[in-house]
Amino acid sequence: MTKKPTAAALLPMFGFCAAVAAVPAAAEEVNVYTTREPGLFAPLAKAFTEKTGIRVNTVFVKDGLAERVAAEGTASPADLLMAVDVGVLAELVDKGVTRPLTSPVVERAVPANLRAADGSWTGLSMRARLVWADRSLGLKSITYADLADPKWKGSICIRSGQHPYNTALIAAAIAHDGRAAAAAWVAGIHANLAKKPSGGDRDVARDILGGLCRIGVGNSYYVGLMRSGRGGAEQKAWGDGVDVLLPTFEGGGTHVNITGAALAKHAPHPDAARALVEYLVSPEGQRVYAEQNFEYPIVPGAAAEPTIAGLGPLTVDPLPVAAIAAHRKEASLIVDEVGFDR
Amino acid sequence: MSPAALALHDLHHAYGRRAALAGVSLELHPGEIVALLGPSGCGKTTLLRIAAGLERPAAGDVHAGGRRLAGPDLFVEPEDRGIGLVFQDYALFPHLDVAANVGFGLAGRPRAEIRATVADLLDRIGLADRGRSYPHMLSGGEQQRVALARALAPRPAVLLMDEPFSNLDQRLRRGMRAETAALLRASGAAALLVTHDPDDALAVADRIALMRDGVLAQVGTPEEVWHHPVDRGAAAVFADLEELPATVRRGRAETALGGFAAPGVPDGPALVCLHRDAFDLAAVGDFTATVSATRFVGEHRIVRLVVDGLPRPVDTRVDARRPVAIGGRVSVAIDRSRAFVFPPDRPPEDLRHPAAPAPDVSDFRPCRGVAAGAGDGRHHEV
Amino acid sequence: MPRRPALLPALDGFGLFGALVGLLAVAPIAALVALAAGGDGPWRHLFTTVVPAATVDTALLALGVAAFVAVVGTGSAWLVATRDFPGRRLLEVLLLLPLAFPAYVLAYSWLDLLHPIGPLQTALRGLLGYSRPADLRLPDLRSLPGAILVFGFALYPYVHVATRTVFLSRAAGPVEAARMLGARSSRVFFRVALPLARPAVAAGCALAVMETLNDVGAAEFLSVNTLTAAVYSTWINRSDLPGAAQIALAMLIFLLSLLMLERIARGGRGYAVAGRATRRLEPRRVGGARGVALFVVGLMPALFGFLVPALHLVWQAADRLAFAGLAEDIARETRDTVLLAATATALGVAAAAVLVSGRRLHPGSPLHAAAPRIASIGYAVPGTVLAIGLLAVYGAVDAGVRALVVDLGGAPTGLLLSASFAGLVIALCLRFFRLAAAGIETAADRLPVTLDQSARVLGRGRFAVMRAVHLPLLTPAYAGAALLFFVDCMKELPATLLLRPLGFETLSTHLYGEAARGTYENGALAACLIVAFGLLPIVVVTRIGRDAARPRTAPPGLSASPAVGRGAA
Repeated sequence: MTKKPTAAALLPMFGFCAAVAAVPAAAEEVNVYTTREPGLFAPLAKAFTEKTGIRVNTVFVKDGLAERVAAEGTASPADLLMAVDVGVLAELVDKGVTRPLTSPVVERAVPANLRAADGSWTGLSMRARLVWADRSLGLKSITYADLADPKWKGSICIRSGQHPYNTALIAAAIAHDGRAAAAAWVAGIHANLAKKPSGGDRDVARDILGGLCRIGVGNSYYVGLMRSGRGGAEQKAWGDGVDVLLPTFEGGGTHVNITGAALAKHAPHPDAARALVEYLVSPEGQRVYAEQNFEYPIVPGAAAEPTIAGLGPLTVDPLPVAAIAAHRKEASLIVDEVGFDR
Repeated sequence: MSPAALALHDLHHAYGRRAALAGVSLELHPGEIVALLGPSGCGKTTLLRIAAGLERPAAGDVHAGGRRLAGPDLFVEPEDRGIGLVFQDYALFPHLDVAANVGFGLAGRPRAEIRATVADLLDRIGLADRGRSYPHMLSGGEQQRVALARALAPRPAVLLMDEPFSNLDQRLRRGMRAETAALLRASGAAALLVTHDPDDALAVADRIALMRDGVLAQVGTPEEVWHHPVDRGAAAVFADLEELPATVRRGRAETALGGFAAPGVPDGPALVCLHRDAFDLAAVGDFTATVSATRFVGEHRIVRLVVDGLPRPVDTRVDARRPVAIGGRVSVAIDRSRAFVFPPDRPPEDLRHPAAPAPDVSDFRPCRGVAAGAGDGRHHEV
Repeated sequence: MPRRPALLPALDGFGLFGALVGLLAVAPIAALVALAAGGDGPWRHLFTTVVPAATVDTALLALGVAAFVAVVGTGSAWLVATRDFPGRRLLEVLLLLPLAFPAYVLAYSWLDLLHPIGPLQTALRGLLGYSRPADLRLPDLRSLPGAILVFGFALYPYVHVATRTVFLSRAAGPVEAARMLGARSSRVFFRVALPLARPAVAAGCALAVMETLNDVGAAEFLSVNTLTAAVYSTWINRSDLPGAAQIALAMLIFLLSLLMLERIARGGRGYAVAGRATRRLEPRRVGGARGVALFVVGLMPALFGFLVPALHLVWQAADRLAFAGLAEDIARETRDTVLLAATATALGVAAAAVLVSGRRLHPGSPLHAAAPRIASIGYAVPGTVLAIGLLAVYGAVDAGVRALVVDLGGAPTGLLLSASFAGLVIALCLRFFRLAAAGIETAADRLPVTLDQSARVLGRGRFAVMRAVHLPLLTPAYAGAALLFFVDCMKELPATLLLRPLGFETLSTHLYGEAARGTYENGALAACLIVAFGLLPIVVVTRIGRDAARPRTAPPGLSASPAVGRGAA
């Protein structure tokens, strides 16, 4: 085995990277950094490219999107930063890696409580946090507050309390009822858990069917994914085997989280990025969100996919999602204090 | 008559296609020490391991004290044989101290008894105060003693030893041989010592078994093997010999150096092997020779003689104080009683065929032990 | 009079290279310390709520896994080393196979298999006549004991390989001696073989525990809150990088004390087996029903650690292929994975070879002795933690270079190390350096120093000695190290996720993406490929070991004993 001095072996790679990075900003592409699994974003990207001819390069950054972009600094090739959780969007703004995206199209299409007031980010689609229940219970409705009711002791399955979907829900509770009340509520749910939080939302359905618990919490689009059969026959059985309810906050609506996008501060292709966002909130884009990803369109009046629509009318909680982002850290602290995941 | 302490009967074994034992039989009597002497690769360690139960023989039996331990349909595991083995590398347990090592084979007995036995043995090997030391803290000689004590502690009827002194330096060896012999006699065990060093065998053994190429060439007391070696190889084990081609006629071998008694040797070509010590520089001798070289080696002097009538020079030993001049003519006397006459060596296969014609003189292989003198007659230091 | 080792003369090529690698290895840790020092508020909260429980869970998990792998690994090694039964050769290979399985893949497979509505429990209910899952409640795998089992079955080969080597190569003498002294099998094992193997057991357990603590996926899946999970969660969910860095540093201290414990357990009291212990242990034949029973018992770890979950995986992949067809990216991802792993392996093993040789060739030089140790730090650091540190380092380097170039009047350079193939390769090299170095060092220690010295005396300079003596003699060690390195690179997840370039997917990131979505079955094919690649080194290493173990064709005792007789001059 011949020995190669490290430096000599690295030089070609340095050169390669520099070349890639030094490619001049062509108008024909837009670079998207997303925390959303590429498979889910791909149909949208494809449709956009077909319509406009602008190529979409996607980078899936599972964690640390803000750190990654910040570390890349002024040379970052990112144009659009997309996230599946409002907390991440707010964090991007906090870290100073975004700049406002001014677009009258977006302002017209997206309701004000679902985008940042100063335009630094906007929602693109919604997912509701729902309650799934054992069919045999014959449950017709439920509120979020009910989940802490002792009558459900030993019956609840849910994923980790620290998962962004759950901390967003808790943050919404803080925004509604204040910290103390929200902490008590979380403690109540913790007392009702059938088993330690683990797995993902789909596991909740499986666990209900497996008799490990009677009710659980999961996101709306999973219902669509399971019941459509896209995940295979087994998952269809899971989706069909549970009841799905749209819970509400007292005096409010169903908690939703948004997927959204923000413009990167040093975006090399800002116009292409704007075009992409405008496409995503257009009826065509919204239809793809609904049909491909089973999400609720963010534009009022756009139709949800039939399975999702069939769950019942969605009353979106009027709370500005920005408020959810503001209380996220607190929500996370509450989860730790209550020892939710233990 | 009491059964043999250890009886090996017609043992065969092979590694791959190479035969290690080709039919070996040997008996040890109770309390006897037998040395198994042979060069490396002759199969002696294999024999030992078969006796111990660490290898299965391809054919043959092993008995100990009348009890059958190995045979075509039977194999008793080593831990059930009650036979002791001292390994060439001692194989002391590095994680146990000396006392624990020595007491290892006594498990199951009352603790007081173990302590007493161990203390007694340590005392006998002179390591009474080293019971708490660990093997790596001991010298080679001390380790050897501990290994021996460990093997003797359970009072086995048979003790096997694999090259017990080969890892010790020369000076240590002499003392160790005597000590080991004393310990063995005191224990009363029958012992089989495997070694390649003839001095070990002579110092310790009641009987010596010479092994070569997987068979036993000769078994006998040290005197028997020394004075009546069965063939040239056996003779060469113990001494440096000089060889003379000879012709035997009617019980007498004629060589360039005169005649030697050769009772029982058939007429024809033969080989006369003379001890180095058979030569003596005497005032009046049988023949004359020229001194071609000498070397002082402490207790004596080696003298190389070019003997008239012999193709190659001959080495002999003389008292160191005796002055010998290089190039001088000397008179040499030969002690004809210290000679062996052997019929010519035949390869073993020939023994099964009808008698082949007498081989040519040039077939004779030189005795081992002949100093590597050049055949060109040049004068040089030995 | 002992010469004080002078530092400056030691700064030859070896020294400089060693210093460079050492600096690279320390940089991310330094970055972490800087990050950790930067945060304040949340840490008190963390240390009162999250860290204590996580530390307890981590410690319990580590202890449990260590105990499990020690027992299963040593027991199985003893079985195949000392007993010859039908199917032993096959079992020798099977017992190594769990090495090919990343822990989180194993966790998912078993969770799938053991779920109340999964195949095993459904079949069990059918057998016992229960109709509803709720009627038959069995213990959940998602618990601390469950996690210990999963990690244990995935990681016992580390102990198995180490102890088997000891049993086969160095235990023959003491074991035979013990048998001659009347000790039965169990006494031989507990009183002689096990103490001899203790350093190997300690080393194997340490490796297993480090792998356990490095894992991010399986623990999360099995709902065990380890410190690593706390680090991840603190950073991801709270965007609290300083807080995460603080927990990460606490983890490092934990791990370093673990390594010191291992060093103590391994050092001990001069356990080197004295003498020329060149005999191999011969296994005892066990035939008939007892032999078959032994085979079945020995098969259990391989069954749970590989065969059953692998079959499940293959079945799932086949199912998926039939349902949804072949994902188009798989070929590209495989190519990229192999390219990445191969590059990192070449560099990492080369670096390890140079540093190990450098240490040998400069006896008494503290720089050269320290270099391989320092470079090995990366292994003790969980991949996530290392990647966070490197992220900061690369960003700083890129910014620095950019500023410099701009100052000198050039156009601003882009990303050089951040999000680059080179940066990822460096990360992998740092992460797995210890793997290569440990293997090469073990082999190098068996080469007498006199070989080097004789080459030097005959006129070769240090580098020439490495080329002429080390390279040819250590080639098997290099190859072995390369294999292990390659496979670990292929399986690596957290660092790859974080540091990879635009659009670069490996098999493991693909797999994790699917798992993140819950559509694990989509990743089944990628998982199968990872496992298949993981099998390669096992097969090769077994083959090499088999050759070394071929039955003797020469009798024992064939040492360098002089010939019979007084001997020639």
